[in-house]
Amino acid sequence: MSAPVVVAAALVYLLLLFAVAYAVEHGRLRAARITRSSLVYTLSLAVYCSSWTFNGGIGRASEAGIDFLPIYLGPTLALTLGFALIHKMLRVSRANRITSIADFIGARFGKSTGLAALVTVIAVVGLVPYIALQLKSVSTGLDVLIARDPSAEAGAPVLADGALWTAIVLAVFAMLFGSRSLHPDEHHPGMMVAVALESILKLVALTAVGVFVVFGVFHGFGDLFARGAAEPGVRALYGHGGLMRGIDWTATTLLAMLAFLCLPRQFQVTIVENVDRRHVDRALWLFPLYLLAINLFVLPIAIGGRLILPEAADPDSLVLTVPLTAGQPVLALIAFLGGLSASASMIVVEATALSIMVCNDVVMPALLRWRALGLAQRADLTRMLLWVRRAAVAGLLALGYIYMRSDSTGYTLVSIGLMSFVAIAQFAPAIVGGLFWRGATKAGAVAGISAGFVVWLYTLFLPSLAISDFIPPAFATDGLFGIALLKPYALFGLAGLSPATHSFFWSMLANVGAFFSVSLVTRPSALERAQATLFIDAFRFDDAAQIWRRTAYLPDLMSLAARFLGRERADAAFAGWARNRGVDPATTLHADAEMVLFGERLLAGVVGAASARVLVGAVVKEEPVGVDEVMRILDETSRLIEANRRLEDKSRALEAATAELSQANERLTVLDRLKDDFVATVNHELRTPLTSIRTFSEILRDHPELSTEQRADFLRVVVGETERLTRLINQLLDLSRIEGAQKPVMTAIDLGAIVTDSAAAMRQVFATNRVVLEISVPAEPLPVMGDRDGLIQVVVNLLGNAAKFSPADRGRVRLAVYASGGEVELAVTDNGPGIKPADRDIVFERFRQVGDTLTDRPGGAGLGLAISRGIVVQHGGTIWVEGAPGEGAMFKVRLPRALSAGDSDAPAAAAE
Amino acid sequence: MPNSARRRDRLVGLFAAGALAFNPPLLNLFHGTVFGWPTLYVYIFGVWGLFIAALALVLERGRGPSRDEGGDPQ
Repeated sequence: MSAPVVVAAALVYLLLLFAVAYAVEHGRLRAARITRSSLVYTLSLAVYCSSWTFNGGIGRASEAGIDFLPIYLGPTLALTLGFALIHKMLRVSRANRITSIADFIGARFGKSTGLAALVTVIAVVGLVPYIALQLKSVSTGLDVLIARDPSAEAGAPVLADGALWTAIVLAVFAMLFGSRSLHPDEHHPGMMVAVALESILKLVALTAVGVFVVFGVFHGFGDLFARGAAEPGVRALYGHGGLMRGIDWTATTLLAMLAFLCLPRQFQVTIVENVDRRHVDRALWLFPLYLLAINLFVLPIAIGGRLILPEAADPDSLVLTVPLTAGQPVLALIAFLGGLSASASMIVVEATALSIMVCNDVVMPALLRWRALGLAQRADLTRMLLWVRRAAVAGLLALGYIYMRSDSTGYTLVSIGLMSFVAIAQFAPAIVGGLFWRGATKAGAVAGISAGFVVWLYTLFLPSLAISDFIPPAFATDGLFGIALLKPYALFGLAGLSPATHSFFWSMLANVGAFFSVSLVTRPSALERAQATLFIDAFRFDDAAQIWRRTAYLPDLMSLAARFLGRERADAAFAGWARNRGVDPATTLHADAEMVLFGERLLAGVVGAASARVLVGAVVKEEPVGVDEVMRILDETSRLIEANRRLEDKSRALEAATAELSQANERLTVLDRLKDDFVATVNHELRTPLTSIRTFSEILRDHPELSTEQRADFLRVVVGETERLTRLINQLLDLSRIEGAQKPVMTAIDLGAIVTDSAAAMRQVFATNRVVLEISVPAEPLPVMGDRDGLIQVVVNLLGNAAKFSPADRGRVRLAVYASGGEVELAVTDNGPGIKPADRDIVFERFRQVGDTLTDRPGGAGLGLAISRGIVVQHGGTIWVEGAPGEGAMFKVRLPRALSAGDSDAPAAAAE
Repeated sequence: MPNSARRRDRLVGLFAAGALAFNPPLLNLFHGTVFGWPTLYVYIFGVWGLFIAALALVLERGRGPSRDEGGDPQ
């Protein structure tokens, strides 16, 4: 096939992709809506399948059979287990506007610029071989299609170097997609759609070649496998076994799991470009399905290639050479475009992700701190940011190209890719530990990542260059300084594993060991603790970063944002935020802590968390961290606070209980005294009549000479005192019954009827005392819930008192019942001496009588009113006395009215 | 048990099953051919397919209009 045709096809395809992306980003595509679907999200995750899958996987399968698969089983398992992890990363990244893996790790460990820069450097160094892999596979593909002998290239002029042109074209392509403009959230919908389309083409191309091989070249799977089984060399591909191979398999699965979660491009598509968290749920099974589909034909193509091609054929370009050999150049061209898609999507996304990291976490922090540049004062930095990113993309591709040139003969695609995987997996302990382990510290993360990286350099990266002349080959074969124990591929004598597994084991040992041990012996700073809480409790704190009491002049903050985002975007962002909070940015001068935080996160989306913190630090007045606030955020402390608060609550409750107890004690003391008084009074009250009865009886016994008249007089006194004694005992019984809280049976009764009955019973008493009794009872019934006998006793008591205290002959007592609001009132008024205001409460106490008890004892023990009050209280009512002294007393009783008037008469009447 | 917790447990269970099925020593039991096809190839892709089907079942059954913010795993 002629070179111009192949190159033109490749260029047209790339331009077409760019056109689609451009249309999507500018809303020209009617189907732009689908760009926000879970399908596009899933397909963009398939950026995982790079040239490694497309060309390298088949090469690997043709040499080692099923061994190409752990790289895809790993992500399948990682997604299953990482469900919670991915959701947590999404939540954290969204809340903190994290836009790269370096930003993520840096932000977790106290917004550390140094750690983020370290992660970036490792990612760049680790991924350079991976990028080289893509370039190598595209340029090899070009050579195969154009049927040029790659070995002749060494003497050819640089301009004829296909790989260089590939690198340049892909670099431009990556810049066009990834760093054409700045977005605060780093969303690139155009890029995502392009990647999704490329993923479809990858799958279609590989499946087409597979179907052709199985059904075009051979007669179906059965034929293909049967003929493969006939060849001993191919039959070996069908099996799997051996301890070391098993360890390699498991280690590669684990490696792929970790790398899938930590690769910058996977972070970009999974976390940063995610527009809807529910897409993750769908992608969790749809993406493994894609992996299964794209790998279905890998082994058949590999077996087919082994059967129809000579031994010496390059295993990594089987997908092209098989159709070419079978006379299908168009199919080969489609396969080439599929491989180009795989490379291009990987390079575009990886370069975009890495350029964001390089720009935000290395270059910008350095430039901003370099005061001589005066960058911090520049008005508009958006253009500069973009150029830094473009330069980073160009630099990455250049490094990839240089690596490829220096390593062009040494390795297969898969072993180069695995090298990058091991480097990237070094981030996994810090990420997983950082998300779930509160004790992880920045020092631990730095130690772990550095240790793992150094081991990786020694056991995998440097030897890969040693084979290719940069470093003497003896380093790889004999070890450093010729010491056998230090052989890079068999460190400390650990031989028999593949280089990648070997390096994975040692680097992870160093990484995890250093991460845990250093974390355990160091203490996190306040900021680290606060960030740890934000990450670990991502689902508990929605927006909890109010630890820093920072204020700023709003114009300062806005102009800072404008410099990095552009005036319009910054204004729009602030306006949107202010609208949600009900603040008017036009009239606000001071930005509070929340607004400052918003500004910082806005900036973090563009320049990374660490840089944003430095930038915002320049315009804010930062008060020292309030101890209270930090305490509130930190969980272990907040648990302490919680316990403390509970303790305080308890002690407060205890205090309250103590107070209640002492009150009860006081009451008890009073009651005890009252009881003593009561007993003494009762004693006295009982003794007085008893003494007089005894005295008079003794006189009657000892003096038979007394006259009949005298005897009659004395006997009358004895009878009177006996009656008084009986009355007293009856009243005491009444009182104890009432105070014993034996609630009488309550029925609905008419108070009017009770009053009438009581008055009738008392008529004789009034007649004897020569006092007039007037009664006023309304015609309608006044229903109350009550005990008939009790209420009659109350009325009789009151009337008895009134009759007693009213002057004879001119005494007038008025008894009235009437409705008063929702209640019923009863009033007994007399025109006696009345009761002094000071005595009005006392009269209701037991044995209390107003006035001179010696001269004025009209036959009562002073229990009547106490009993009455007890009965009224039992009925839920109140009793009190009114009236000025000298004008007579007015006793009032108020009882709640029964709800229904209908059922009031009948029981009352029946009880008569 | 809340929906999300049940789903999480199922996913962990699936992971354990998959990790066992896709690794030695179970993997080493399959070699040679069955009806002319490589047994290992048939086994891995078959189990993989079943695994994905189970995954889809677990993930799609829990989806519904009622599932919103509260459905996040803790």
